[in-house]
Amino acid sequence: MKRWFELLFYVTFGAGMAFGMSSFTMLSGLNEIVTGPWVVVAIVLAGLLCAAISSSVAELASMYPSAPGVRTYLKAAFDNRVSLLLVYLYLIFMILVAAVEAFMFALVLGSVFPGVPLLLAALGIIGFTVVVNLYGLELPKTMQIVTTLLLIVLITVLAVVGITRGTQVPGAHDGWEQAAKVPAAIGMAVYLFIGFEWITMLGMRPDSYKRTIPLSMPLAIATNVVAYSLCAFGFWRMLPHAVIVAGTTPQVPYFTALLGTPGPYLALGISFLAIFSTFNAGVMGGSRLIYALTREGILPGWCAKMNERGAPVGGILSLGSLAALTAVVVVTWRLEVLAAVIGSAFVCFVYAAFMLAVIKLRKTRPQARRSFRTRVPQPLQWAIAVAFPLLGLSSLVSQPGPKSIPIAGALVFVATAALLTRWSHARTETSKRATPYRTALEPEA
Amino acid sequence: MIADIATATLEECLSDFRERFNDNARVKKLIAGWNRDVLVEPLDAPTAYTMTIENLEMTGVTPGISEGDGTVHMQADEEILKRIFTGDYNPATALIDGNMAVFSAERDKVKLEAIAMVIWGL
Repeated sequence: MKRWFELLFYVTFGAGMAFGMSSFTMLSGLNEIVTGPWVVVAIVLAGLLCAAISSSVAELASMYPSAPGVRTYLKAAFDNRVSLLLVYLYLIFMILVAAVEAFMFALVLGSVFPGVPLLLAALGIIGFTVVVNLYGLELPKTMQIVTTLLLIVLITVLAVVGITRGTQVPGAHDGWEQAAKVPAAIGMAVYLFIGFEWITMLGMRPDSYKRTIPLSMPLAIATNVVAYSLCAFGFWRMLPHAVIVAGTTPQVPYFTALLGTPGPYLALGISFLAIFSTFNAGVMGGSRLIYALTREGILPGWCAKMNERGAPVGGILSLGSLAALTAVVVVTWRLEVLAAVIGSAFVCFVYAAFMLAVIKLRKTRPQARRSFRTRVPQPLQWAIAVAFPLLGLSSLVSQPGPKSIPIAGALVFVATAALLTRWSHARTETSKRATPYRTALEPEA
Repeated sequence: MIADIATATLEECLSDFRERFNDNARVKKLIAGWNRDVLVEPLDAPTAYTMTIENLEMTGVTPGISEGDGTVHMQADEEILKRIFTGDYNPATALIDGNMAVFSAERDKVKLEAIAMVIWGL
């Protein structure tokens, strides 16, 4: 495989994983905190922070190539319980995102076919994805590249058209008052890039971890920074603020304003493109994580059941069922923004842990094989590791309405993750499968 | 049958694995349409091996590297590879422990894990 094709595949995979239907929901949510050009500022700053984190992730991936990062890196660097807690929070995030994505798809479908019940459409897309994964069907690499490129190019072109046609200009009073709210907006904007780290599991050859993968993650983030920024700016130029924040699918009124009646159809087409990569790869990746945790002896044996096609049935069905149940709750009580914000806050903690893992492993395993080393200075790594959880927490309380609801929601999930961690840790203590951690890829010092 | 992993060579372990692989009817179902070269590369020993899987059979275990499109590339210390191919260490666990790296499509990783599960009942 040609190197440029490999790089293009990684970049489009990372960008496509992050660019889902719920990205538009978050763009709408960001407008609840700040407006206009300040949304773009938050997106760019969040992108820069994520690029710094991707550099740490690349170093960890070069130490443990092809491993399921969130478990392996954190297990290598921290106590088993810390690793398990963060893994469970990450899995909760994936389930929340699957539910939100499904609901957003249902809303866009509803804008074209108003007769289709939202819950049915949301459960239908989850069911469809589960069946596709059970059959072991996989999107060819070329198709993955084409769909993501098409998605990004379409969004970018339409955003530029909106920017040139729109008439909105910044108000004279949009100064420090907006700037003060940017940190909370950054915490929320991190959500827009989540998924870039999945590239690390896809390395096609050992030396991919030396340059191609470390380069592909910031490129994927940069691609999305451009697309999201243009999109957010286009929304602001074309649509009144009240319309952007009125619903969680601002792309529908935006495309309608640009194209008239065909607008919702285009939004639906874009939804299919976005769901192609995010949803399918997400379920497959998540189910493999569940499978791997089961093989470690952490989860019950049925979670590792495979079918004759070699698809991890147990993991796919567990994840699909939990996503469907969550979708019922999200659709019934319209909790999409809340679910996305809580998920985003959890990932802020996981990303901070990645940064700390690099710092810790450099001390505890200085001799370990590393084909890539992050060039982010250590004081900056510390600063980001401390700032990220704070950004996540600030985004949690940044939405309008009672602050107690997102906090209570997050606490319920943290308590669930803590209980699961306690249970899983006890299982690993007694499991025959669990072996003491030792990194064989690390030469003797 | 490998009696003692410590004294067996990697080639012996792979040959033993090949016999188990070819004798297992459930494996044949699992690998329908799955023709691959599996490159097994020990990080602390000079010789890598290529296991060729074609037409529902592992046709050969040969020293040397065959790396083209569609190759599944496994890397680990020799001791770890021997434990994996004798059913002493689940490849999924080895991967999550950071003791092994597999460079391939995601589906191929799942397929390898499934084969190990069927052969060893891990």
